[in-house]
Amino acid sequence: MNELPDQELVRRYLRGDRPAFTALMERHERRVYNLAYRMLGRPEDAADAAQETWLICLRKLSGFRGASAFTTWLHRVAVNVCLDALRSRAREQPADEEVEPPPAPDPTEGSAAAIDVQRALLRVPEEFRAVLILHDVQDVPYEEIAEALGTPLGTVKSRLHRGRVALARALRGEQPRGAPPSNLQETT
Amino acid sequence: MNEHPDELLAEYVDGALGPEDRARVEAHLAVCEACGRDVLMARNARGALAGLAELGAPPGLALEVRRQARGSGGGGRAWRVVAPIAAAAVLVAGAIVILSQLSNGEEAARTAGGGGTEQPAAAPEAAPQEVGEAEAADVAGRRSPVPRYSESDTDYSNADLASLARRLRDEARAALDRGLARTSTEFYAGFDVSAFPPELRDVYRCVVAEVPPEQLIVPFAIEAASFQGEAAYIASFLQGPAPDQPYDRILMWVVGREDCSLRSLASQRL
Repeated sequence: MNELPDQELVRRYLRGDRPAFTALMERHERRVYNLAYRMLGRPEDAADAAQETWLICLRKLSGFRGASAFTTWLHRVAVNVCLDALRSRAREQPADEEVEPPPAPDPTEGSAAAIDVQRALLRVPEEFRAVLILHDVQDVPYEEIAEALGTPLGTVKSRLHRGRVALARALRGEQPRGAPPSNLQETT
Repeated sequence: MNEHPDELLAEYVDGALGPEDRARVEAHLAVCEACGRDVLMARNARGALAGLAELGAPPGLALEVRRQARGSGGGGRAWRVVAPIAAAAVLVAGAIVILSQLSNGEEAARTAGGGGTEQPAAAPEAAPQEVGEAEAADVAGRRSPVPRYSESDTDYSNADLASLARRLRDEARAALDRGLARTSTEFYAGFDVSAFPPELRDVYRCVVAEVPPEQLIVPFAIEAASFQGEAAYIASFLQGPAPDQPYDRILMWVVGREDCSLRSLASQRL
């Protein structure tokens, strides 16, 4: 089953072949966990988000029509789960409260440099961060990111560039500039 | 080109522009100091992100999803519930510590429709088989440590766990002498469940379903047997005081094969 394409596994699962979903999870669970960890910065939150992503997939897979790649659909679900988690986190933390201390890194994060990059990533505005992770960490093409995020292609490229600049500033210890006004973001 | 071409700059940094667009960008960069500086910063950031390693998903995640999906998991993440139990066992210094039996298996999963992967690996019907301790599964050029796996007809009790822990302690010492990774950090550096033999993969996921995700403990051996009359996995893990420090104890976990939840626990100094 491991060599079957995603679409075929989805089709089989929808026909009642439950192991097909397990095969899909095994194939993509690392991708989902890494996306969540890079977005959220805490292993336990990432595990929760990954779990929530797969549960949503299970519930909504019948609505997956196969018009786009399964991974595109999966990315959309995962990013939305992460953005929801970040919104919940923001609600729980009063606006005038000091910025929370850096989260403990995943214990398997390889080096001090990687930990620094991860911490800087968390200072990049969220909509830039998602594009940065998908493109520069997970090698997702621009077009697939645009489809996953429901964002015009030009906006994806623009956010990618601005996100990179914001990350570089954060790595240098500068305050990354916030997201630009929405009318500037939606360039096409 | 009067405005800053943000959309093109990402592709410029990626080297993905065609000759015409590249020429336009370079003409702009020749006159725009801000964009030139941003391109340098974007290159640095892209390189930093490309250097991030892919991390392993927490053990037991897939199993927990399946468990919650069929509504028998009691909600939430099992490992959070169990973590204090593991910590308690670790805090007690000295010889064997046997905790009382933890669950009678009332929430044992009942899979409707017989979905094959909803169950852990098959019961031990065949003759005992073993995958060598600390063997490395070689998949696509990567080698991952694999815990020893065996099947037996033994029906263990809490008292038996003590002697089993002592025996496994001696075997673990011998394995360490033969080159088994000496710390959790070292072990997980090459660890990959997908490199396990297929028959061991689901067994492993079941065994670690309630293990805290911090990867402080390292699977050493798994035996598919019985515990007080119930089909169970008797798993042993090595643990150090910190991920980068040598193991100093061996933990015994008894996990019900039906629902993958913890039944009993023991600890032995290495």
